Amino acid sequence: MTGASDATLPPRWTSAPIGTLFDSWGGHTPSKGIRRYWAPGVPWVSSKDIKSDRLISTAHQVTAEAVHETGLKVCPKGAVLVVVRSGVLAHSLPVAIADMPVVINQDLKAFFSNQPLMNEWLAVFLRSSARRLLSTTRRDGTTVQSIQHPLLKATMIPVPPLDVRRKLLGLLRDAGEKQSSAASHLAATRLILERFRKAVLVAACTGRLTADWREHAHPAPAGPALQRRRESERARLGTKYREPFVPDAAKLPGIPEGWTWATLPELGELGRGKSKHRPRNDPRLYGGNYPFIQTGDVARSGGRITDHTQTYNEAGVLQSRVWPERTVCITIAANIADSGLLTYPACFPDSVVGLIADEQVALPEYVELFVRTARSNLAALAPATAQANINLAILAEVAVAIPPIEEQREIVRLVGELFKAADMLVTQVDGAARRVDRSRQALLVKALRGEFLAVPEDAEDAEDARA
Amino acid sequence: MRVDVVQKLWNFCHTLRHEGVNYGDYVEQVTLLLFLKMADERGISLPSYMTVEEHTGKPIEVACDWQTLTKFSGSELVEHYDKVLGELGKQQAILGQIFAGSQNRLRKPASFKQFLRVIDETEWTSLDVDVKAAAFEGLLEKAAAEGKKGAGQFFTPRLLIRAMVRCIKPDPRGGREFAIGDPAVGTGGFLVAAYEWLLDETGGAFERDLARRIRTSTYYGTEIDEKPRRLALMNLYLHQVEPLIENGDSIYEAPGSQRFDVILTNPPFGTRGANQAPDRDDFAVQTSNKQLNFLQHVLTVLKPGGRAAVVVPDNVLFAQQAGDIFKVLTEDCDLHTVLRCPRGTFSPYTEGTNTNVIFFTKGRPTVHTWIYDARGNVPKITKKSRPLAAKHFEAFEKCYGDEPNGQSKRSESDSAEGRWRRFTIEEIQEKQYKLDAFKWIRDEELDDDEDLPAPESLIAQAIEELQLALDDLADIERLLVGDVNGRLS
Repeated sequence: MTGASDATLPPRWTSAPIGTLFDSWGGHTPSKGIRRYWAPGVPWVSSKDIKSDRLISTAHQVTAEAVHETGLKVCPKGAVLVVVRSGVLAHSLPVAIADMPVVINQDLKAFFSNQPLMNEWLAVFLRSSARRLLSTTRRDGTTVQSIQHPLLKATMIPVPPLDVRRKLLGLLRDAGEKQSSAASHLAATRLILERFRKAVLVAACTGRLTADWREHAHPAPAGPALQRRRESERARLGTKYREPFVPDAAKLPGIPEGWTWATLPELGELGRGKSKHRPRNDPRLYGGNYPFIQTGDVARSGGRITDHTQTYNEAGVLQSRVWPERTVCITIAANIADSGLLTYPACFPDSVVGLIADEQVALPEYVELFVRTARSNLAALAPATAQANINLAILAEVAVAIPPIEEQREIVRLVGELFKAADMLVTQVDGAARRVDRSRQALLVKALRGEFLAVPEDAEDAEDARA
Repeated sequence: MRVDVVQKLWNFCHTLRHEGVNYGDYVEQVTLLLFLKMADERGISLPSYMTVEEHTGKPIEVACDWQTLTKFSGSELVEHYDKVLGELGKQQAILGQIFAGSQNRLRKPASFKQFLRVIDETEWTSLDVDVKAAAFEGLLEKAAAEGKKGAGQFFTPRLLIRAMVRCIKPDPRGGREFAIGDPAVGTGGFLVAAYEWLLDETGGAFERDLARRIRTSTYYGTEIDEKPRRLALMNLYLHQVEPLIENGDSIYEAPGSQRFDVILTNPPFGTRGANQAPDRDDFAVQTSNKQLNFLQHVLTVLKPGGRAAVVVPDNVLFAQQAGDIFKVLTEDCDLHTVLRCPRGTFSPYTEGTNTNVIFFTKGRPTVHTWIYDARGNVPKITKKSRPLAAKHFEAFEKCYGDEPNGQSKRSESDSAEGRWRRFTIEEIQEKQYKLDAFKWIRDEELDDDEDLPAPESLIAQAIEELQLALDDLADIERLLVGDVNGRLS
């Protein structure tokens, strides 16, 4: 037997089976073959129309003829409509109050009382007891779940006197509004925090994040370190040395003093992943001990590549190359410039470009941050990227804003902390949102038991208690 | 000529930046030195300080004026200037007000000397007031835009100020003790604009007594922070006005006895410094919300019949206790006009805050309120690609009408775009006095990544949203817990 146990009912409350307090009836679908039945007339409700607490419109309507000729009973405005047959009953019980007179199909039942505020009270009861009702009265049909009408009618419903009903319904409505409002503010907070992460990245790579730090730390400028590297490369490579592409600073956004523009090849060893063997996806190369990072792994990494789904075996490794930990990986196919740092040595295909940073000049962690911001700004930085793909030549001309090396360290540290704080906040916001959600149900249950109401002692108090 | 002056001053700023003088400090130092230079040009005598001559041990008097300053060099220059600032800070009247608490940030003699030369080159007093003032405003604007934090909160965009001033018409000829005030005066933008408006309207021709009254006993301000107050004094001084700007806390201190015919103000946004409700008998509502408290303060210090234009963030139109405050406001005042400003109006000074201007006249209750929505479907204002322009407020000013208390004959069709609507006090009561509820323009503007606000302001926004969520949750709690007797209240 379902329903509130009488022993715990507050004084002046009663309890009775739903069937004795409410009229109820069902409906059906007029023959779809008869055209004159299906034209604007009376709204005809199917389970799909029940999407919220109030029913204000339906997908279909049937004519007055259909109603008369097929014996449909019109539900008055204010009737409680309950879905009793539908797959959705596996997890929820849709209940709505009709804002206008309607007819229903065979998947719903309608309940109606002309006592004031009884229909609203029934709707509240059904919603709060949904789980109990679904587990005890549901009969699993072959294709859809259903609730037995007789059992619904036999279910006991606790009923407070009118003044208490009015008060509780008012309270639930007000609380419901506040809960929705709170939930939407929490959702807004999540969105803001996502934008916050982006804004932090942008501030980091334009120098704004470390503006205060710079004033106290006075780091040695980045230019000379880059110069030194150029010279040593020139010396090392001799005739093979190629002058780096120098970005035109005039066309680029302003950067703080001490920062300088450079391109990726100047920051270390830049190269495409190796896949010498053809076909590239020859199964004889895979299934071994060497982690094989694919473009999807980089795209999903969120900045740090911590797992992989594929591995190379000895044959695979021989036709490829193992890149060291902390290589900056940048995809050049499928997605534009997704990036991530290797957290262990791995191979990757030629759809990924790797940079082994020279830490005299650039920290791989900083470069990865920059590439993340550059992703959406690629248009501003690399003019030739109108196409969906970028190739190594284009990537090699992308201008990277290089701060002094100590500032890079500070930027990486700060961004890490800010992201961590944002993540924690998101977790807490999510937790709060879940709790607000659960509180809806908790509120309904308490209302049904009259628990948070102090009971008026006598009739006089009942007068005072009227809203 | 103006370009030269601003540019010259600004170029030198970069030199000093290397020594750790940030933009805000730089403007302050310019203020102090400019003042000394102009006092010198005008022949205003300045006091001296006593010290001991190095070689002889004899006590001597050293003058604080510009001529003496320029004769020093090396480390003595820096020491001397320190003493000058100290001495002048002890003086009366505007001199003391400008120099009190000032600090010399120019510690390197070579660049200091160079700086003096840059300033010395120009005959500042012979420059048009316009030029000087504009130069100064230009510097303030740059400092506000460049500064990462702090500087922005003292700066309201000039275009918005001018629109507000043109609507509210702060005309001191309206009475013998006409007073125009700003309880959050910052760098003095509103007072300057009010004076400039008057000059525009009248051509600047006043008979002598009126001129003196206007110049010396019309413009009032309160500012809690020494630095912007100094700049405000300087700003108005350059416009040849002697304002009465006190250093004080408009909210937490008891209001003085001065009352105002016109108030123009932009209380600082945010919650910094607002931890508890102020102890003010004249405040009908107990709240720690800074902007709401400024509104209550304005209500107190307006003369009956006085009018006000106040910039408020969105939060003030829907916050928890905003309804209570606006209930009082609409009972005691005619809240005749509200302007919803475009997104990004305060960019780059304060990113991300959406703002409004409310106009009200004290002494009769509100019957209806006109709202102008300049925000819906208007692209967000950005510093570079879509800067604030006169056109953003032109249509609003036309709808506002000529009568400063909003009493011009108005009609919704005055706005071709349907941005101008009238709401009765009953409609406002229905929404619990939360003016933010009246939105009728279907807004399809989206924020794009290009105009991402600064992280700090996103955090401020997040805090606001969370605060609103908390307000809602507190409401729910109140609904559940009920009154003291355990009954539903």
